[in-house]
Amino acid sequence: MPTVFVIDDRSLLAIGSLIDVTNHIDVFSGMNQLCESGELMFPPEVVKAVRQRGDASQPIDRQLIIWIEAVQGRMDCDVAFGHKRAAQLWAQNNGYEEGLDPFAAGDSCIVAVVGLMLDLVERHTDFVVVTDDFTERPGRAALGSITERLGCRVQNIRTFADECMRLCSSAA
Amino acid sequence: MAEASVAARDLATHLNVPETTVRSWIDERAMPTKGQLDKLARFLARPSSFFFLARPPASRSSTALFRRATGSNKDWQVPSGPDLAAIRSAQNAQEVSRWVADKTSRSAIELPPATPTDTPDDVARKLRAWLGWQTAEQIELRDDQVAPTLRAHIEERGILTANFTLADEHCRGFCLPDPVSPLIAINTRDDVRARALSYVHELAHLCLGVESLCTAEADSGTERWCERVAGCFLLPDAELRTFVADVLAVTTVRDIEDVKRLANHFNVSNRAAAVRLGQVGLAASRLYHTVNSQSATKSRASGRNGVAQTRARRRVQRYGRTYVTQLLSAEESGVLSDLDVLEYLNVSRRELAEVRAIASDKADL
Repeated sequence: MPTVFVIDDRSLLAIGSLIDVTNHIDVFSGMNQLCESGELMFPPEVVKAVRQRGDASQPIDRQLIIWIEAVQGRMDCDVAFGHKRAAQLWAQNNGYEEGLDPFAAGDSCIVAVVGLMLDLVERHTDFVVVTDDFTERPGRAALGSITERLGCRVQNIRTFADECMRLCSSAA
Repeated sequence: MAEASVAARDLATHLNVPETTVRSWIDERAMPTKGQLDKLARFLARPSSFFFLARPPASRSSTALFRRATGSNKDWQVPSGPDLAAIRSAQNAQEVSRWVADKTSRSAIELPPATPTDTPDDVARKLRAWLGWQTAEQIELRDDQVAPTLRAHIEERGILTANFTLADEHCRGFCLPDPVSPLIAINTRDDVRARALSYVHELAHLCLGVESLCTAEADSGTERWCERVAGCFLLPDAELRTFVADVLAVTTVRDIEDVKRLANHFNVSNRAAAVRLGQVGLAASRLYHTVNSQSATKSRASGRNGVAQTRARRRVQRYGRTYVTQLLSAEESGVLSDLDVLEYLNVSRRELAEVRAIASDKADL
């Protein structure tokens, strides 16, 4: 079974600024292939966050929003309440007394993303979390730090984007 | 539920489910559906992820303090769920500001120190000097410009100012003292002319270094002292007496039309003018009661000056330029990422571009 990539809203929104504009289409094409094969996963809360934060008037965010809306219908990544509770329980037992996202307005996706990770751990699925987020700040736990503390693997966004481009060129 | 003073019965009514269903959620014998959870989160003004916590987090000290105040004998002091959410939102902004200050070595704000034994007139004078506030400037402004101009003066001193439309119309505002990130919040449900008084009232609390949740009724010694400081600040003794003697040409103000002339001259509310006249012994008996009973009960909102009320503008109005500028500077220096700023202000990238423009513009919010 191939490794599954788990990605959050911050990583998706950061991709555009980390790679050259000429490579954007290849990256999206590669991510598309990963979604098709079930090797790229993110919960619906990530889609919502990307739609909320992205700027549809800018080409790269527009491309991301169109892409994510197109793939979400084919992706079954709903995170059960039980796994969200497990994520918040882990948070409270590991120094995040108010949970992973105490400042969130409305839905926040980090609880869903960590819930998905715990679900994959439970199912013994090999996965890697795509993130550059290691800076602890008030209001939202850093996904990279959580991943490391959970003993899971992390891949930085640029390496993930390179992998997507390679996937795209090999398919061509 | 307890913090928001919501009973299981109220929640059941709001969600249109039997009370036993709500109790089964509390006892963890059943779980709400996704739709019910969303409604529950909105009703209790909490993010939905809050309800997945294994245990309720400890109340933050400020919220707990406000809650204790509510335990007293007046039920209008009980902050409702949305008002507690506003307090939490202010606390969050203060926490972020404090964190940024720590990362950027921003120094503490030196407010003029005060104690309740100081005369309100002295404290008001010190505050006017500290803020660079001129009564002559106040008189020249349009009445709906006084509060925003005063807000700008307060913000120039590095104090965070927030505007919330609180559900409780009796709540005038609150403050959260802190050495580097003190915060004043006022209720925009209040009349536009009364807001300047609220800013100074909360500033007086900050000078004392105590948290407060202030209502329209000054029901404690500290509240009355802060109210007097605010009155002295906006209607200084000498200017007030000169106006009454020279313009109104009376020794005691009895006529409500005179109160209105005084209020219009200093750009304050009629009630504030009547209270201040009482404080300096220039009001006829029961003048305040007459003014209070005849003053508008419907508050006048601030003018929009034809400016579109976008989400970005509302965010800057809510959190103030000091906080927004601190976030943007932190982003510029790499302390925060643009994604952090988007989340703290709850805006999109497009709206953030507008936030930047509004924050750098010196025009009234």
